[in-house]
Amino acid sequence: MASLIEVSPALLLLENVLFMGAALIYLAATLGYIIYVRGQREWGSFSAMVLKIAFIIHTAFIAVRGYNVERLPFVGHYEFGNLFIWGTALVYIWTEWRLKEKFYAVGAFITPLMMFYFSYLTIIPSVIPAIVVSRVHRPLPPVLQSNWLSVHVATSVFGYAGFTLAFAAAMIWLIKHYVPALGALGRMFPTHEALDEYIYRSAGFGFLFHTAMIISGAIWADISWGRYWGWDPKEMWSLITWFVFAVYLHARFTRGWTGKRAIALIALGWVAMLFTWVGVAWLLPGIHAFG
Amino acid sequence: MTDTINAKLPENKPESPLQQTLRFFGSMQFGIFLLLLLAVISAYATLQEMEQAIDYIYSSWWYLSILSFISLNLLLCTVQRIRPMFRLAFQPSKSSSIADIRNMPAHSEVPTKMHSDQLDTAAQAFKSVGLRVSVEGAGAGRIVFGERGRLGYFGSFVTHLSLLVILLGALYGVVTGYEVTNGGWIDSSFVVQEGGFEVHMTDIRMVQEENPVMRPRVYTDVTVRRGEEVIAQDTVSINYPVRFGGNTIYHSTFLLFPVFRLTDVKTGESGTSRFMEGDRIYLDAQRTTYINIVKFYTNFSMHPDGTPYNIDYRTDRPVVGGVLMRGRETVGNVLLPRNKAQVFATPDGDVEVMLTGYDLATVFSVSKNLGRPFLFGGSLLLLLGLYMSFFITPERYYASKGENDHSLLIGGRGYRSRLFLASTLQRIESEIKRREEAK
Repeated sequence: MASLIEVSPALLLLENVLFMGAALIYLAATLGYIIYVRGQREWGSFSAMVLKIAFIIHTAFIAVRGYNVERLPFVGHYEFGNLFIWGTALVYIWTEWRLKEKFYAVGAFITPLMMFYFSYLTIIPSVIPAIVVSRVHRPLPPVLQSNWLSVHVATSVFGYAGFTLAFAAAMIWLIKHYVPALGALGRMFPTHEALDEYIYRSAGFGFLFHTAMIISGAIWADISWGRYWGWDPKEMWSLITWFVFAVYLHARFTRGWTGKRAIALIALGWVAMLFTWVGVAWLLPGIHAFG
Repeated sequence: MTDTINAKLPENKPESPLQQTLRFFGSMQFGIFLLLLLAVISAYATLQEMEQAIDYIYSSWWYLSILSFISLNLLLCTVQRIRPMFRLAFQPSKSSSIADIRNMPAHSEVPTKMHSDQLDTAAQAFKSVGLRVSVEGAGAGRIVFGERGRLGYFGSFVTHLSLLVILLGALYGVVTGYEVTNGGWIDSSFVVQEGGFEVHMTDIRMVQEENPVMRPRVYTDVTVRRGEEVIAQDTVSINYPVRFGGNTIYHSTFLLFPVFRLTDVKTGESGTSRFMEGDRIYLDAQRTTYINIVKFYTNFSMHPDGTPYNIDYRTDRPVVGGVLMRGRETVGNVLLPRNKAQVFATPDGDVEVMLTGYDLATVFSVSKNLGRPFLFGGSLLLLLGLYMSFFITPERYYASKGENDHSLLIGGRGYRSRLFLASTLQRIESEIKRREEAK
């Protein structure tokens, strides 16, 4: 049964224009950050400004989408994907604002990841027919009509955002390590020590919110289904992601793992996170099939 | 999981075999190994059918053994951490030489006017950035010590303790609790042996959503009795369970049972029964002729190609779709709309079949979990522990007069993180300069 909410053509147009506008300006910020790491130092703050503009437009898109679906736009691949990208941008912008050293080079890696996530919502479904990312405006089914939905989704967004940020910094670490003659790139990249610290803090941030996501999901499941843990593939992969980052955080803190082994764990954790978000939905069906 | 604090402890005498064993089971390496093992096994398990994975992996003795070892690891490392943590938090090294400060991850030398209260200026600058300040030593070796974020030292301790509470809460819940699935229709009852009570459904109401393509909400009025005593009386619906004495009744799902009246055309004898999807309506005594109920459409329609479908969840046009069978032979598809009798020929004579309506039934999950308070208490503690670990960063700063009395040497070190050391040190430096200029 198709379940639809009628949306006026003007609002539908506005929603689509804001989505495309945000995507294009995020792309512009990506290009700006890439120019920055190629040695054009003045492009750092300019790209940061472009990213903030994209973020504001994306916020407007989410607000319009919420108005159109008459609820918080937190459900399904399209809405969650947008929220995830928005959260990733927010967390990165926050780090730029918070830190004395701006780490614009991380922007050159986080924004392509955001574009990759955008491609999952736009290009990938047209290339792989098995993946369907519906933009249909649906009302909330009764099982999802709970205040826990917003807590569960919001914490998962920030958890995933933290892990994405850690992975972006980890990629810089890898390039710095394996490509000795980087030239201008090398000058724009932070030091290994600074990157290591950045990765650790981002992973810790993501881990806190990922944990909150698992806990809020368990409480909600307990209220809704009568059990807090159902061994559903989505639950299990969230836990696997949690395990991997728990191992990294322990190894980093107590064993001083800061090199390739730590980076490998971050990469593994990011892959597990991606699989939890996308892979489980299409390959391992379970009770989390709301999208 | 132990940390480097333990590794730095002086070893006065050789450890006994028991101590060595306990150290191994509480070690971080062992903890990491178990977590990775659990991750790999869990990933493999998700590739299996969920029921199979629950029965043969998640409930297996070896999976539970890994969880037990993780609990043991958490318990031992939590105990092992207590003393070093307290020592680290409450007995800091407050003295530092000029050389020590110069070796700190963040340090700086601030030119000052030559006067006797340079260190007082440093102490005030420390206070202005929110540090807890004390002046240590005397004479030329006097230094200013400042710190903040002491709670951060206990983050991993609280985190490990909370995980232990969660695991033990889960274990306690499994040992003392139960979970059953049962249900029925209006005015029916079922007994929950494990809880020693009976659940009676006095009313079941289906309320359509504003948009009828949405699955409707079902409200069930239940009365729970233990013997003659009513121990609970309330309404159960999705996301709104009924709780009493540690037991909980959750709405799991609802079912619609089509009700048929079968009449022997020759004798006029008739009877009424409710069926569910997958059931067979036997039309003769030998059970050779029957209708296999495939689907109950509450608001029936048909695609142009003849495929039936439900328009939405309304119950305006109930129709049962089925297959008429004679022995193993398929005779054809049948559609049985409400109140429209159809006659089928059987070896016993003609039988009239009519869908007269439907009954609404609710399926509940009934459970008791005494571990719930521990689970949720442990969860809150876990979030607190992680917050303390990652958002409260212990930092310690030191200030000493420089070698030539014309400068102040300031340095800082962080526990786990150095990210904010430089910016804090810069704020201290600016504050010192501002105060120096004001003199």
